[in-house]
Amino acid sequence: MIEMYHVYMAYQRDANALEDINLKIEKGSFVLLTGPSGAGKSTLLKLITCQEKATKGQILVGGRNIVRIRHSSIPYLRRNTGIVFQDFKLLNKRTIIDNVSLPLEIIGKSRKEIKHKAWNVLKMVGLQHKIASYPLQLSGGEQQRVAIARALVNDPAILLADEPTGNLDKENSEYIMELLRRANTKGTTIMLATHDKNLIENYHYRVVGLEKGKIISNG
Amino acid sequence: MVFIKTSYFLNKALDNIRQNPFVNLIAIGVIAISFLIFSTFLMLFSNLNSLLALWEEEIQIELFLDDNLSGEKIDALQKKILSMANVKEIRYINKEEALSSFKKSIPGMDVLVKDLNNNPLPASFEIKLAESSKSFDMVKAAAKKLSTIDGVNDAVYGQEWVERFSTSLAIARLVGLIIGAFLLMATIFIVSNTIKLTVYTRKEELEITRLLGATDRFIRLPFFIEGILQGLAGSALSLAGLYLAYRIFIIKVSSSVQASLVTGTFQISFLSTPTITYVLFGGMALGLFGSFISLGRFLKV
Ligand SMILES: Nc1ncnc2c1ncn2[C@@H]1O[C@H](COP(=O)(O)OP(=O)(O)OP(=O)(O)O)[C@@H](O)[C@H]1O
Ligand SMILES: [Mg+2]
Repeated sequence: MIEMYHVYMAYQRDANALEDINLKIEKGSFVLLTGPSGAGKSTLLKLITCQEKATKGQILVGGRNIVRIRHSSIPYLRRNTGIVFQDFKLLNKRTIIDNVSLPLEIIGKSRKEIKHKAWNVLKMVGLQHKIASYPLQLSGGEQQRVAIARALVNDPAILLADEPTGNLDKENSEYIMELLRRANTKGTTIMLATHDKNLIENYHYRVVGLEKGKIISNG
Repeated sequence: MVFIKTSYFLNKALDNIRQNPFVNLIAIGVIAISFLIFSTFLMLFSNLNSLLALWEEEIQIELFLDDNLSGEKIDALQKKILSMANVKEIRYINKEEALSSFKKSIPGMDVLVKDLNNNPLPASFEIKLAESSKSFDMVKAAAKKLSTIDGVNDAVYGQEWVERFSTSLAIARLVGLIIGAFLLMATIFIVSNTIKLTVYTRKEELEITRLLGATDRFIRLPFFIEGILQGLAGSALSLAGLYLAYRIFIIKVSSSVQASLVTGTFQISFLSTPTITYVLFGGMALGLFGSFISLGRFLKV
């Protein structure tokens, strides 16, 4: 589903955020991307959705090389990839249901379908009673669930989750992981970036370890 | 489906306006003011043009004849002139008619003229030119040519000053055009900056929307609509203002203005329906253009 060949990425000259990354993520798999802060986890995920550009190397997503993708094709790539951002990136002036509806509005679904799907996905993350609230009226864990709902509302082929359990207590973390597991069993390929040791120990998913921009373990 | 989408983008645009009411009001106000100036010019020009057309319509050449021409000679002259390509109508006015119409034209004059024992006024031809030959240059040329005919003393084409008026109108039109161009640029500048402001207040939202897979079109459309709505509101406001001014001011003083301007049936008129449509479409185009250039550099996530 995702393949990387000799991928380099540098924000500044001669300071590689990622170095010679070679990675193959199978369709339907669940992969944990780990490493200390600044290792390049977020950067790696950003390459997959063209939020950042690789300075060298080839990246294939769903068989398609996205390194030289046309600017106008990027939106269609992103529609197939749900993203849970490290900083949520919810629209604070919009209600929860509006936030979750946004990806559907973008692809031009009918109002009826949007309402139906958004409500279903919010019910799935256990927030159906909060649809009219605003993000800042919710707890951190609830906001995280809204972010996951928004990423999944489209039934994307890939889900990229950047620290979805960061700053959450054990109970909330487990709930989030359960949501992701369910999405995975429905066929969504998941990449989850985390530096949470517990996650790695408690779940027996494939772990890709990053350090200083390099892959140090891949199992 | 298309309808749902249109209303979706329209709603977004209205949201933008609602979120930045002050900025939008300023933009609409600026558009309204510059369009008010612009359409005032338009109205002025269109009225002056129809006034000119009226004068052109009435323009005729008077040929004053030498005294003591024989009847046959006059007949021959009349035939000859009428056969000229651009002459449409010719009427002979003999000395008596000339005197009596002179008497009529100035009341009280008859007392003075009564005692004249010979009539000082010459006989003349009144010549109307064909429609296609009524421009001032052509009238001038025709008058010149006619004045050289044997037996013709002088050729006068009444409103010579109309010619001067016509040139000043052309100059005024140029000045109006230049002012209009400046206004246009200033207005586009203001509109594009207002849109830029609404873009900035929504910057974060737009970036998120973009990351969720929105196309350029999806992101830009509401701003284009916002620009179009600003343009429409502004130009409509300017037309309303102009119409109000037209009703209150011009109609009230029109009788005196009319009397002094022309003897004819000239009526100062408001902008024609096509012109009104052009002004409204012009406003919308301007708003669209303003938002277009303000979004040009934006959106490269
Ligand atoms: N926008 C940016 N401009 C410049 N350098 C950046 C930028 N974003 C990240 N970096 C640098 O790239 C390196 C990798 O950053 P990245 O955010 O990928 O790390 P991370 O593994 O996600 O860390 P964390 O666990 O703290 O989220 C870091 O050294 C960071 O300082
Ligand atoms: Mg990170």
